[in-house]
Amino acid sequence: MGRLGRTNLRRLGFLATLAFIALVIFGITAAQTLSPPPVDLFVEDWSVLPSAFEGMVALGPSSYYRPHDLTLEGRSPNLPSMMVVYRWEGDLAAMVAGRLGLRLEKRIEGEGVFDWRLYSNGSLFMESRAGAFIVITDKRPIGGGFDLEKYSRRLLEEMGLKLDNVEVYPSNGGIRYVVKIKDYSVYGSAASFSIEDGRIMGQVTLPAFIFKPYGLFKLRSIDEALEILEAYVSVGGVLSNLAGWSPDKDARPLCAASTFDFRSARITSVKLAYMVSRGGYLIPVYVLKGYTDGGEPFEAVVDAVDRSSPPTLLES
Amino acid sequence: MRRAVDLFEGVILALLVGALVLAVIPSPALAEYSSTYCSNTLCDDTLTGEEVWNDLEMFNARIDVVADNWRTYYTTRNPWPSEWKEWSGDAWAADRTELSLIIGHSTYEWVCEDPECQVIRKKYYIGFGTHGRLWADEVRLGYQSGTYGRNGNYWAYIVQCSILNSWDYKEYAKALKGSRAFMGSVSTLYYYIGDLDDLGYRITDNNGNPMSLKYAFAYTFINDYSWSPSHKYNRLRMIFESSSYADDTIYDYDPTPPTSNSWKYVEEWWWESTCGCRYHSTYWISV
Repeated sequence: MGRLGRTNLRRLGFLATLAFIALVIFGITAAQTLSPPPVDLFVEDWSVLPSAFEGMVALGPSSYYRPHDLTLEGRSPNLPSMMVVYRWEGDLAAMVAGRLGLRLEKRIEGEGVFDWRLYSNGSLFMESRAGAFIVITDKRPIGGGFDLEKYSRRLLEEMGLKLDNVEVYPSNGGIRYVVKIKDYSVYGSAASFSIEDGRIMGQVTLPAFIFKPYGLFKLRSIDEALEILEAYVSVGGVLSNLAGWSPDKDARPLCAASTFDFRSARITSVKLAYMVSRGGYLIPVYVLKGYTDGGEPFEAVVDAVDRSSPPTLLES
Repeated sequence: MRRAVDLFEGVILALLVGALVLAVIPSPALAEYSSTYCSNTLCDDTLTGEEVWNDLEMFNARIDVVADNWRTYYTTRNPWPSEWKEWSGDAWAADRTELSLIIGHSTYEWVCEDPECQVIRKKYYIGFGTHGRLWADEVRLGYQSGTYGRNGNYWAYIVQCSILNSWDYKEYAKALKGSRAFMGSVSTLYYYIGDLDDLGYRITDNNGNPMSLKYAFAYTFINDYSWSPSHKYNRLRMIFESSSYADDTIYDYDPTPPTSNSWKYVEEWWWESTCGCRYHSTYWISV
């Protein structure tokens, strides 16, 4: 091969390299252009109020995205546009332990839920988390004609908890207490008692009973709540930018859902309730119920507070 | 002459490297108790990651309290699939400890259910974040798995969503190769910070009355307390080598290995809103 041929070959190689680089740059640019731009539909100002779902993580598939369709059946229910948010704070468990005459036996110091304590008087034991959630174990022998409702009611009263606005339900040999704040339930069982292995066990969420008014907050509309829920179920509960959740590390859940395994669902009932937030508040939530396209019952809870405007504070 | 010197140098070097490797690998005689893992997509999230990691460490600390002559082994923040994968030798971590737990996000892919691909479904893998994933046939736990035969796993908690869903759980049941229990979730799993600490406390102490590994899992992850109400959406599935291991407590560790066969005992647990209680069903499967 002559000198000219070698030069041409070198030039050809150089050109091929340039073409390859250009192709790579083009590819990257095209990928960036064609992929959907990041959208932050659900960026919330958490300094206004923490999430109702503080401390909760949905362990769903990390790669999930499947559009879901939610339809509100019938007319929108007539619900208020503003509601009071309540606040709880301090070591409620220590206060209750004092009222029951229990001594602190063990403590594991930590932040929030990692602050674990065990109080006892030798027969009645009380474990606490974050000074807010307690598990009671009564090791005294259970006599004949024992009445769990009577026992639990007296114990809750001895703790100084008000029972004038609670609903009591039987639960497979046990008993559950649901607290109501005016017309609205505190979501879940505020207290439950059962007999396990011959011992009485109880679980009490103290902030469901001990709280004070914090502020009057505007609520988001039901349509907005549905939009948030649609995006949430579409990403399988694992918050990602795919459905408009903020990609930053401050993304917190605004919902929980009973199932993600459907394409569409009919919402047949919407109610307001309060959820105990581990962030120190009782926060209004929408409780939506209905049926999936597979005919399965569907339930979801959506944080109802509109954090775009400041509240009217009620605390002194 | 020079070749001989080179050869001698090579042998000495190999011996040195070998000695170093042996020094780093823990002695098989050392008791191994618990291995826990946190997939990096969960634990590297600055919002909750540190708290999830703390929770995992609290779980280990609870185990350590009752097993102070044992040691917590292989606690890993960003595990690799190889730590659970059965490969040329043995899953080098999960299968060499009595109690293994992994928390994180699972992952899935769409697969065809029929040859014409008219029906598709999601196939769930144990997720290791950006480090990869493992399918059921890559996980084998217990003394009959692998080649090393060192201890073997006894019980495993998979705190990830949908791994034991209705299509895949029979495949994961095959992971029991001498291991007594493989416990996980049928659906998306709602987890609250502190759950693992609670699980550890329930299985080791629970006020002097330790719960079985199975019931502690159900007690922790299935309830409707106002403190953790989303737990009521969880549904768990637990696969046992035999019904006689379904009520194992952590104190039932028995060095006599169980016999592994194709029949497995299964329990499913969920929150039943009609009775406001935990509910469960039981059945046997052949895998």
